[in-house]
Amino acid sequence: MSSTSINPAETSSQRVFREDVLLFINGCFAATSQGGFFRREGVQRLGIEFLHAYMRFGYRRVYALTLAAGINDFNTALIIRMLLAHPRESEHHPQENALITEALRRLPPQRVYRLFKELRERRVNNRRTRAVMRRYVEERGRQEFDAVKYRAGLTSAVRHARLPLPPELGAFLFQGKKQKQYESPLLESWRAAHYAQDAMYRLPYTVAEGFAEKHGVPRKVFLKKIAPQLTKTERERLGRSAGKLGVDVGGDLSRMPLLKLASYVLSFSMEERAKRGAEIDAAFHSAAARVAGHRTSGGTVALVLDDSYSTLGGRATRQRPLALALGVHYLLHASYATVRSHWLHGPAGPYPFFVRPRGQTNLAASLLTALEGEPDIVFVVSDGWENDPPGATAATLELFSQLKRSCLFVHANPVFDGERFEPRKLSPLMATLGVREPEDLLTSLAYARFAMGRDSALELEARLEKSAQSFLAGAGR
Amino acid sequence: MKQVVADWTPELRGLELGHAQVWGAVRLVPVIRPQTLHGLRLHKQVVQQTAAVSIDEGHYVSFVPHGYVLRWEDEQDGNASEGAALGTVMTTKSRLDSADFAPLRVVHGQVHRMVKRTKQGLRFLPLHLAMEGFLTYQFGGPSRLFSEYSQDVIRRGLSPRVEWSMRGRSVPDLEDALRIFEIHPNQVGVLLFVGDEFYSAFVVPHADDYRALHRDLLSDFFADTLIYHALGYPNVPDWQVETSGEEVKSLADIRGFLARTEREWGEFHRGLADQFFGRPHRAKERYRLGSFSLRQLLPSFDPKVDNHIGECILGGDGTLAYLKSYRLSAAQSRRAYLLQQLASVDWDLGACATLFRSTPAEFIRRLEKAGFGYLLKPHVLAEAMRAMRSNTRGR
Repeated sequence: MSSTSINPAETSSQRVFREDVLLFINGCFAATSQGGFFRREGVQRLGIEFLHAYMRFGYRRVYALTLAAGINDFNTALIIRMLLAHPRESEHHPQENALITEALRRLPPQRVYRLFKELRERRVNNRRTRAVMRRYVEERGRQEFDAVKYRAGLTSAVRHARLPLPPELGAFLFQGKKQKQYESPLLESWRAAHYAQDAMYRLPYTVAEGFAEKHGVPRKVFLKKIAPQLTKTERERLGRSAGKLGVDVGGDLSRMPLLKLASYVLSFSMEERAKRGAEIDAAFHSAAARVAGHRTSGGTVALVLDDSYSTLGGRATRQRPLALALGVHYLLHASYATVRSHWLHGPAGPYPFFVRPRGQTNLAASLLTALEGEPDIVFVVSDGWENDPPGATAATLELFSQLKRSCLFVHANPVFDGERFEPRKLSPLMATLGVREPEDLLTSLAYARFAMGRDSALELEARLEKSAQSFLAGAGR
Repeated sequence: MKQVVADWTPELRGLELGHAQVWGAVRLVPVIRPQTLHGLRLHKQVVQQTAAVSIDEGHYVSFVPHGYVLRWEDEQDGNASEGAALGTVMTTKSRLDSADFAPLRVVHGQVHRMVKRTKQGLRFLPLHLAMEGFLTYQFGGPSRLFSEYSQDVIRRGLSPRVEWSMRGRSVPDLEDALRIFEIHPNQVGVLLFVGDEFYSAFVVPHADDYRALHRDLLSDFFADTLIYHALGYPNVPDWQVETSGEEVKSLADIRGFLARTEREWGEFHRGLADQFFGRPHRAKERYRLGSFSLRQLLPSFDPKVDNHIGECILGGDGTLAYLKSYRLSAAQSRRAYLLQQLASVDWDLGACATLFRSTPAEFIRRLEKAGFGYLLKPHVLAEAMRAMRSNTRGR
C-alpha cells in the first residue's frame, strides 16, 4: 500500500508484508479519532478503522504482536476490540490472550472501561471476551474505588460479562443511594455525599465535582477542600484555573511529561511565557532529561521544525503538532551532543517556547540552511503539508543525493491522514514516522531502518516477536 | 469633482506572487508586499444589510455585507511624522469598539453613498464601486429619440438595471480553502482561482489589514458561473516542484534552483490571470486621497474573452495599494457589449442590427433575450417576435 525502498534480498510478498506492517505501525503511533487541521474526525476514524480491519484480516498474528510495539492507547484499545470481536480467525489464542491481558493492564482504566462499553454496544459477548473482562476486574483489585470513580463503566461491564461481585458492591452498583448504609467507608461517603457536603471531600475529584454542583458549593471553596484528593494529572490540569481563583492545588510544571508541558505552555499568552521564562525552560530541560537519561550520543544533528499555521492542529488537538516540535527540540537537545534547531518562522522571544503557529510551510529553505551545517542526521518535524512550494523538500533531497554526502533524514509526523492511511510523506528519500509524543520518536526510530529497506521483512517480524516477549516479561511487575 | 478617465492595464507593481495553495476546486495565490506601504490603511465595517446605495445617477438596492474604511495621511500634513507610524500600528480591540470605529447602523432602506468621506476616513463599499460602474454603463439610455424605445427609457434611461451574483459563502470548498490557508508574514492579498479559472484579485495596503480581512472573501460576491467551475472541476491539481534532470554540484546550486522555480511559478500564476492583468481597462478616477487615487475599472466588454470589472487604489508612483476585481459572467459581459454596440451607433436599432449582421427583428429578439426587452415599446417587441415566428414557419 505504500512505497518504500527496495531491499534486493526480499521476495515481493515479503516486501508487501514489510510495507503493510510498517504502514500500520506508523499509523498506530500517530492516529486517533480526533480531527486535525485538515481532516475532520469522521475521515480519521474511517481511515484508521479500515487499516485495522485490513491488518487483522491479512496478518492476524502480527496484528496482535503490534500491541507490544509501544503504540498509543487509542490504537491499543482498537486492536483489543478487533481481536475480541473476531475470535474465530485466530490460531494463536494463548499468545493473543497474554498480549491482551498485559495491554489492558497498561491502559488507563477510563480507556479500558470505555472499551468494555464499546464491546457491549457492539454486542461482542463471546466466552473469551467475558473471561478477559473478568480477569481485568479481578486483577485490578480496586473494585470499590472503580465502582465509585467509573461507576457507569463498571456497571456496564458487570452487566455485560456477568461478573461475580461481593454483595455490597452489587448493591452499590445497582441500587446506589437507595441502600440505607454501606460498610465500606468509600461507598458510604458516596452515599452520604448525596445529603451532606462534608462527605464528598472524601471522594475522587471527578465524582465530587458533580456533588459540588448539586450542593451549590462555590468553586473556590470546593477546590480548596478537594485539593488533597487530586491526582497528579488533575493538579496539572487545574493548576492555572485554580490559580486564578487564588487556590494553590500544587500543580508543578517540572514534573509534567514533555508533550503535556509543551501543549500547556503553548496555551500561555506571550506575556505569561515571558514572565515565567526561566521556570518554563527549566521544566522543559528536566522533562527532556528524564526521557533521554544521562547518555548523550555523538554526531551532529539538525532539526527542521515546522511552526506554520497548520501546526495549529484541530479543534480537539489545539497546537498539538507545534507542541510535538517543541518537545522534540528539547528532547534531542538532551540526547545529542551537537544539535541545531531551524524553525520555519522562529520563536518571537528569547526561548524556543515563544513559537506560534503562523505563516506558510517553506520547509525546503530551512532544510537547506540545516544542510549547510553538514549534519549526520536531519530530523524534520512537520505535519507534511508543504505549500511554499509543494514538493520542494522532495526536490531538495533528490538533488542533495547527487552531492554524494551521507546524511540520514527522518521525518516525524504527528498527524495521521485518514485519506491516505498514513502520516503524509514529504519525500521517498526520507523515512516518515508517525509520532504522537516526543518520547515515541526514539521507539519509532528503530522502525525507520525497516522503512528505508535496510532490514528485511524477517528481521522485522523477529523484532516484533522480541518486543512482545519483553512486553510480556514485564507482566509480572 | 473632476473625473479623469484613462486607459490602464492592471499590474501588480511593488508586489510579488507566492506559491498557490490548493484545496478542492479552489486555488489561492498569495500576493506579497516586500516593502511595507506607508500612509494607507484599510479597516472593515460590518454592514450586513440590504440597503440602497446611492450613485451619481440615482440609487440602487443591493445586499451590502460589509464596508471598508480607508485612512490615509496627506504628504503635506504637518502631523505626518506621527501618522507615518500608522502604517505599522494595529488597531486594538478596544479602539475598534470605541465610537470612532462603531459599526455602521443601517436602517432598512437607508441610502448609502458609494464613497463617503467621514470623520474616520473614507468609507466605501467594496466591489460596489466596481459594480456601480458596470450597472451605470450607458445608463443614460438612447441619446436620440427613436420611436421604438419606450417612454420610460427615453425619460429615465435604463433604470431599473438589474444584475445578480452569488455570495462567496455558497462556493463549495471556498470556506475550507480560506480556513486552512497559511497566510505569509507579509502577504497583502490573494488571487482566487476556481476550477483553474481566474475569478478575483484582492489586494489591501497592509499585511495586518489582510490578516483581518482574509475571510472576507466569503462575504464578497461572485458571478454565478463560478459555482459551475467549482462543481465541474472539484479537484484542481496541486503542482509539485519537479527536478527534471537538473544537475547540481553544491548546496548553493540547489538554493539557486529553488529560487528559479519560485520566480517561474510567480510568472506562471500571473499568466493564469492574464485575462485581467494583461488587458487595458478604462480607469475612471473617483477619488483622491492624498497621493493615492481610487479608480473604477471597466473592461472592453469583448464577448470573446473573460471580462473583469474592478476598483483599485494607486499610489503616486503607481504602486498598487488596493485592488478588488470581479469577473463578469458571459451573460453579463454580453449585456454590456450590446449596450456598447447600441451606443456606438447612437442607439439606432437598424444600424446596430447591421453591425451584428442580422435583421432588425433578429436583433430585437437578441435584445429581448439578453433582458433588455423593457427598453422597447411592447408592440415593437411583439411585432419582431411575430416576424421571427413567420420567418421560421416560412422555412
